[in-house]
Amino acid sequence: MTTLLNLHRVKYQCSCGSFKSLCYLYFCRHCLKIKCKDCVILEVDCRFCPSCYEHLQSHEAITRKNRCQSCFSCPCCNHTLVTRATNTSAAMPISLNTTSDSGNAGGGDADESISSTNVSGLQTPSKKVYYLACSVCRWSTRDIRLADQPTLNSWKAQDNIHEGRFNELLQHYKQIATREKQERDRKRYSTVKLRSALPTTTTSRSSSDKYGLLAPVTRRGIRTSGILKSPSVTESPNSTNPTIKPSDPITEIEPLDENLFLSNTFDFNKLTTITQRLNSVEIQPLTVDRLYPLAKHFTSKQSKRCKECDHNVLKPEPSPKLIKFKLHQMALFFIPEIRIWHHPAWSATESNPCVLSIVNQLDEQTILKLYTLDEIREENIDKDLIDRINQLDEYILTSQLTLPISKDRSIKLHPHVEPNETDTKLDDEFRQSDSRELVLYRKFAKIAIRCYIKLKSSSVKTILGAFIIEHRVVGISSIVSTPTATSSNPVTRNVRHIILIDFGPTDEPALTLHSSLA
Amino acid sequence: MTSFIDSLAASEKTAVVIDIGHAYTKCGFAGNSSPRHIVPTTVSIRGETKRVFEDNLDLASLRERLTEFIRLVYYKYNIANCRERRVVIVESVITPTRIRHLLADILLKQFEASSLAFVSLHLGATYTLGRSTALVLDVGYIEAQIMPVAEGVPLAVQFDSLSCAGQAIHKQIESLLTQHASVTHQGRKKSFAEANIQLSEDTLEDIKVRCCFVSPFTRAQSYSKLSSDTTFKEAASTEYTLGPETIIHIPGVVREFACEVLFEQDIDGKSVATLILDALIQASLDLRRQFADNILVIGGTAMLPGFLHRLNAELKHLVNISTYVNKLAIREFHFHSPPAQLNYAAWLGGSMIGALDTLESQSILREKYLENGIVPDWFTGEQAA
Repeated sequence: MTTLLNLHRVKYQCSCGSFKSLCYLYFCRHCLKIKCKDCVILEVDCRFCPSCYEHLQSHEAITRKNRCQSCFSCPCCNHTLVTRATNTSAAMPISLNTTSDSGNAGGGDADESISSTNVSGLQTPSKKVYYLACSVCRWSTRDIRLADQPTLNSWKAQDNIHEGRFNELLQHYKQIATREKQERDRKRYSTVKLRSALPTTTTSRSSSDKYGLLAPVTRRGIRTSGILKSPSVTESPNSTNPTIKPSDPITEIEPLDENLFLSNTFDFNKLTTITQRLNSVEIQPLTVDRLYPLAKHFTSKQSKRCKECDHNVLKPEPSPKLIKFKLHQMALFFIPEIRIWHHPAWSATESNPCVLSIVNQLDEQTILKLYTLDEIREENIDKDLIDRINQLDEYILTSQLTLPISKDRSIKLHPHVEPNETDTKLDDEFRQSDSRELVLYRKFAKIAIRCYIKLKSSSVKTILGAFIIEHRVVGISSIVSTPTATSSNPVTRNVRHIILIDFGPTDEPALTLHSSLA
Repeated sequence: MTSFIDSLAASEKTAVVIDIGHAYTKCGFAGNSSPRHIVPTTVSIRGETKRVFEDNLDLASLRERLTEFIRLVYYKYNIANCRERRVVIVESVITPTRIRHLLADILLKQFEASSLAFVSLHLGATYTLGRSTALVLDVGYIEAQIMPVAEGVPLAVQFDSLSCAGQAIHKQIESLLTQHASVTHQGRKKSFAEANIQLSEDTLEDIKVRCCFVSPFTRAQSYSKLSSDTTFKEAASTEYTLGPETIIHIPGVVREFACEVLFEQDIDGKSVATLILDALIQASLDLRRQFADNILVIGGTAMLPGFLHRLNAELKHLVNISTYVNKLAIREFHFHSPPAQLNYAAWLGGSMIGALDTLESQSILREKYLENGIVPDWFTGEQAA
């Protein structure tokens, strides 16, 4: 065994049909079904900065473009930048004598808070100036010759030089689009057929945007539908629409910077890598000396919601510092966990006895029933389940799993206890009532059962077997007809899960048998 | 005016605009002047990073990767809820139908977006210029695609593409290194072919971005006419550190001429420059002058240093040689520069379209899609309504 738990070997079937390990599944207590990552909808709960945990409301976060104002990342290596302070004496007029002061702006990085006094007794105000430095790759704002700032949090983000032009263009197109939408809405609600003024149609056709797809539709529309009752809709009030200046062609295309690229002193380390460029989207600097500190992006906490019943399945605490959950319906807490404990060296013809362990995660004792696939097929009650089993059997399974004891296998599971639990009364009781054929070992919440694997054919490469477990769950009923003071009626039901076990390749050697199982 | 735009950006209902390219994806919100993130189009599955659009992927794995990727885009990069928001996908006209259907299925059914609009990237790019007629050339990773847009109508029938783009440059770098470069591995110097090193796509991309450039036209011509006695002043060579024990010595010829693959005419006589000329020839006579005066080149590969200058020189040279001199009367070309870096210019067009009121009439609405499952196609003319 290379990994202790071998999570990916035992898979449970989710209600959407896909098989996933138990740790990746959720359990919705309203629809009483297992849900996986694809059956839930994520919603953003809280946005926060990952380094200073500043928590913002969603609309505020959106205005700040999901970036923190006080934390920055190094543009070279993307680690968090540290603000360092140093003292600098203010530039004093010549009449004052020399100051016995601390470091100047060109040097040190340790915190120095000695204020300086000069010979004449006047206190030279020494200001603290701040700069940003990376402790991992040793980049600092002084490398790009950015002046040290006198106050904290005064690092301004770089502006996008094209923003003005973009806004101008956007405004222009918005006006055209609103006009077109108004026309279209009016045309839709018109009842009186009036001959449309020809100039109106032609101007609207040429100056508004017609996308290739809609051209035939709108042409049809103009011919068939009538237009508006009020003539005031003609475009006179909108003639104030300022047309924007379309872009000018490039007057002179700049040639390759030969000094940079062809010269003998070319050092490619002075150019930024593609990741560094893409980190600052708007600027994308070519050379390393134009990199600028990047404001840190926010991360988010999400809550997950079941698609069917629209109730929350997972809801974290809204504060970014707490890692607990308000609602934590993971499948691990409701469904017993099954692991492979032992399998022999595989023989292709005989029935191979294997041992599986079942761990109960609930805080109360439960009764677990085990069924093989054939038994479910014989029962013939749940059509949907039988369909799924048949699908599985045909396409995926490569072996048949049988269990000892011909029918009515039910095992009592001990509630989940602390590791140092000493009260063995319940445990002993259960052990008495166990059938020796099925249950090999029992200790508190963990039991070991025996099963038999018979390969379907000798050309099988990996061994996949499946069986069904049934247990009781206590759900929450979502409909409360009369508001009662007590909690709503809990709905208990027996649910069945299909479990797919991948025992591994046929040539895997036998796992060592634990002494207690021998 | 700016506060109006800002309030738009601050609303909870702004559309999300995504431009999913083969190599990089640009994502952000409509109405913003730049995307929030440009990220590589990869997902990490079981610990390994894999491209979303790998070759020969079956539908189920493609779907899995695309779902995971869209989840990342929404919740890690954009941090926006998918439900109740409109989505704009900026895409090329020739995106395979199965990818468009997958995207529609994932976004409208699984993530429950309120509507989905597919915007042609060439059309979007003309919005960034404020012009309605332009010849747009997008040079990306897999291929270079050109499409004329006249009076706001994308002329999809005259679409053309050529696979000389980022990926071709990577392959050329690899083959040139095998021919010309040498490697110092563990202290011993060998030729590249002997050292038998496999260069990953990321390393090739790094070499392309930092060491290579597009050679000016005159230098390229003199290199191709090289005879053994004429001297040619090579560019400087660089030493590229591959790992703790390996250094590749990249000679100047590799640096300079790796990007020639974009301008060398292949067997059919095609190159990036001929794409433009052929598009002009195919266009109707009255539009030719307009197209030649409004050429827009976008795409990440077009950001290579010296690209535009070389393209212009190639065009001026080609119109005077035999194949084109009789067909085309145009001798001068004018290029435009969008208010954006070239690699997200198409996204910017999508952002403008996503901020307009007419977005709804152009999109596939969720209710309609769940009813009839139709995803309109550029060429079949199926309508969404």
